[in-house]
Amino acid sequence: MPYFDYSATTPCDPEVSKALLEADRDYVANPNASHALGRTSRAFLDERIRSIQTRLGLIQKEIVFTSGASESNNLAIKGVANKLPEKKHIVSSLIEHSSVVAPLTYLMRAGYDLDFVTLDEDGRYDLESLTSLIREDTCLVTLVAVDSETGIRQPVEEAALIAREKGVLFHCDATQAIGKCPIDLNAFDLVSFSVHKFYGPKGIGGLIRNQGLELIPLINGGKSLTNVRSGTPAVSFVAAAAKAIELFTFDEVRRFDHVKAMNDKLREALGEIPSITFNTNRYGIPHILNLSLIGKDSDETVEWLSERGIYLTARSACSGKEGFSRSVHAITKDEARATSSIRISLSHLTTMDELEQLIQALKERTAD
Amino acid sequence: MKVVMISATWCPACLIVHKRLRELKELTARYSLEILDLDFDEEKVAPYTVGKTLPVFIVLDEEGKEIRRIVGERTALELKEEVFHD
Repeated sequence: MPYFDYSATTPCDPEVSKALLEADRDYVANPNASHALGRTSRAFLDERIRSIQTRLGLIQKEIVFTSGASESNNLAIKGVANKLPEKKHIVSSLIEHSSVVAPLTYLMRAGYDLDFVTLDEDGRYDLESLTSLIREDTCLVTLVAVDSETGIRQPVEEAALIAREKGVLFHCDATQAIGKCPIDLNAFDLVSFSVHKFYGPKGIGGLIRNQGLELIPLINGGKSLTNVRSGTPAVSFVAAAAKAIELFTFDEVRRFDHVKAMNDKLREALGEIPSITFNTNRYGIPHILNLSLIGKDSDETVEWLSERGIYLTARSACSGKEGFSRSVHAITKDEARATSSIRISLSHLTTMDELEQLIQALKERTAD
Repeated sequence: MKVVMISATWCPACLIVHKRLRELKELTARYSLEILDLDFDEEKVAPYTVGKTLPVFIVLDEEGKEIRRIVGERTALELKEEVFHD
């Protein structure tokens, strides 16, 4: 099946599914239970969590397991804001995922002041802009690591350093970065991720936080694995997350090289078509190639391809109601490109045959 | 004169426009401004038949008849010139 929407979600790896089912079968008890069976579950869970921390290279960090990155983003933003109520200013950007934009909107309506880092001509954060925006009453800087529409890798480690020097907490939405490109997760105070973005199941994510960093919970119900997220620990989902992380760390170089080769092939084949322009620039991760078919509406192209059994999107699924890509416009300053862009997202599972089908279809579409 | 603004919580363009409206609060205070949310005020939004681009400003006369419609992100100056004028 020619599927090119891996940035939206990935299929669960069979080995991950197996780990999930086995954990669900073998560790029935609540890890917080005081009886022996509970302690067995807890020991298994702790071992899986240690595996995740080790493989992600986390130092003095704690993982708050959530239902996914949307919850993690909400917890980070509202959790910090509510913990530091005397500070009512937040710095972010206008290329964030809807699960960052929405809590920011919520806080703005509650009286918070917001500022947005500008982008430079390459679509990356202008770090001088960030420096100038941080104030005495800034409680948080929240920035995305990889733009989900264009794939552009943002200088978040440098941005976090600026925030740290000014004594402000930094949250990074690393949902499109983890498992795809190198990222120093220890550079941030808070990091969101979602396991279904790297071949794990939907329904689990995490918020990595500095040990001791206090947040006000979104879900109240008493301490579970941590004091900021109540609910029975999802042992089987954590086991699945650990397996998914084990697989991508074990196979990182081969997966990356395969995706890079697919991206190069696409650029080579589509670069010959005059009405196609590439929006992803040299800062893009190879997993995402955003391009515009000049004169063809984004949503109509997505539907046209879907009717031919080829699946991709124009933009992040969660902001699909907007008619144009803000990210593409930020880079190109061109409305025609921003309304005709599509996002092709690639995987180590993408085959040459699938790629040929996509190339042929896009040639037909542009000739249409 | 009444202005209806239709926006959504997840929409970055709406977020920045809300910020600009706050900067223009002295001007907007002279109008009856109703802010509707695309997802949470579905019944109220439905009669206005909005498209894919947000936010949408609909300026109504005293009888509730639509005078003009401005679609998409606007700068503070554009909001003054296109939306909040008699």
